[in-house]
Amino acid sequence: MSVIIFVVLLLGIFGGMIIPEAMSAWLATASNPMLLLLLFSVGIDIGSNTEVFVQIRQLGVRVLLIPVGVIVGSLVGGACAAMVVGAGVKEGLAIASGLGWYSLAGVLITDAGYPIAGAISFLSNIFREIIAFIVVPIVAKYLNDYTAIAPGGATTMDTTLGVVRNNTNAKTAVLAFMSGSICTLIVPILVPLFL
Amino acid sequence: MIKILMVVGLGVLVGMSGVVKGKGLKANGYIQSMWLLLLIFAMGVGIGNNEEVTQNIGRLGGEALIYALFCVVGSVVVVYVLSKLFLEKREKK
Repeated sequence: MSVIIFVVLLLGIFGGMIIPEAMSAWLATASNPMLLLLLFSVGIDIGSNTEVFVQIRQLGVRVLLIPVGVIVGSLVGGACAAMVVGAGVKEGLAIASGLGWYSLAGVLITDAGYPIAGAISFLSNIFREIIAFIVVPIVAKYLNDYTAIAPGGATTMDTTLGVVRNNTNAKTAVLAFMSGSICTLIVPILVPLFL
Repeated sequence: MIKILMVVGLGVLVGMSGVVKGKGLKANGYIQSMWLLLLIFAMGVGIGNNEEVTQNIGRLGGEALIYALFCVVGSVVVVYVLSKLFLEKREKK
């Protein structure tokens, strides 16, 4: 699955650079309603597996460990990355706080007066989403279902929910959706903390 | 976000109602895989078509990639450890 996803993604990216502007803009816009349809389909999946709600109730508050792990792991990763590239740790933390939500993180950092860090954040969070698409199948196969939720960060409530569902099960899809929603809510609070 | 919650919620309700079953569910899974690839393609187009991306990728792409990789690895490690400690073990009881 990872290879197919990677190839399709590359085709899309190159396609976006070479096909006429009008058509590529149309496709880019079309991805929104397409995403909603995919999410509707994942919803049907979850709704027809009602036992997942019982399983998740058994986990109780422990479901929160996943988003907490995603956030802590991202921040630690961001701080380490900052040291590697020779930037300030706070800058790294702000960049990492996007958790994959590129449209927001980039703008927040840029508006705070750091245009370069903002651009890096924008790109790195796009990369995070791309990497998530590719590694989720691998993580699900070699580690476990819970960990397949980690790469996507905030995007597991929308764009990467489909890949997570496709490579795991309905229960993990619900956990991914919950984790992604919590991450999404926290991004606007987390990013300014480090600016 | 509200749109997403509504769409997923609606899907869950449809799934729970039992309107879609047996072959329908199988078809739903199949369509989901195809649709996912189409979406990934369309998103790729969006990325390739985005000037903010293409203008900055040469200059800042390397650094951005390092951040992305570290964040993914960090999240995977922490969630994996937490899942082994607190999520998987207790399930077996």
